[in-house]
Amino acid sequence: MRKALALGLAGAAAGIAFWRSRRAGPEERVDLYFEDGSMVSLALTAGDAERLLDRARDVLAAARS
Amino acid sequence: MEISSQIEGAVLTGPDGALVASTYDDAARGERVAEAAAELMRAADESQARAERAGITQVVVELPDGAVVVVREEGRAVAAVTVEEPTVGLVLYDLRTTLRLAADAEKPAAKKKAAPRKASPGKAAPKKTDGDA
Repeated sequence: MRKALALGLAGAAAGIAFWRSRRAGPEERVDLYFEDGSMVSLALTAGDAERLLDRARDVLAAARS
Repeated sequence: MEISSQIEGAVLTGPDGALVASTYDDAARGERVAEAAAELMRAADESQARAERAGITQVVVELPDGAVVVVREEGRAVAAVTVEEPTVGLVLYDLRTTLRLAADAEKPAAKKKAAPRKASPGKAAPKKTDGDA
């Protein structure tokens, strides 16, 4: 009985986590592509990424205002 | 300028940074988007990642409410604002095609300017050679 209850709770927790992740929508992401064909995804904690995210928000605001 | 349904709007700028074409009916909005996209590319060029590598050709910034994608080639740049969760590969393909078409549209004009005049009767036309050997 306890085992079934624990399994049920675990399943519910997993379901809630999945639902929340879907509701949260896409993550923020910054990708730079270079002339030599390479690509870099910037870590969102980096200052560079923050600057680029801010500039991109400006572009969205300019387009939608 | 025709674009896919995932792209809300786009602007094309020339090598001098001036707005060449825009999908926005409001010209002022097109200018604002072009300026903001140029700032984004400047920030990308100044990033540490750029310092260690070759030039940047594409920037993709995904945000919860849409993405900003900029593709740059031979000085020209096209910047697009997309819907949420776009298929980035398709958007990049669209923008690269736009840049290629813009480059092709300028080529005939350049060729006309550079086209040699007909050789005068007294002069022989230059012969095409495959090399010295």
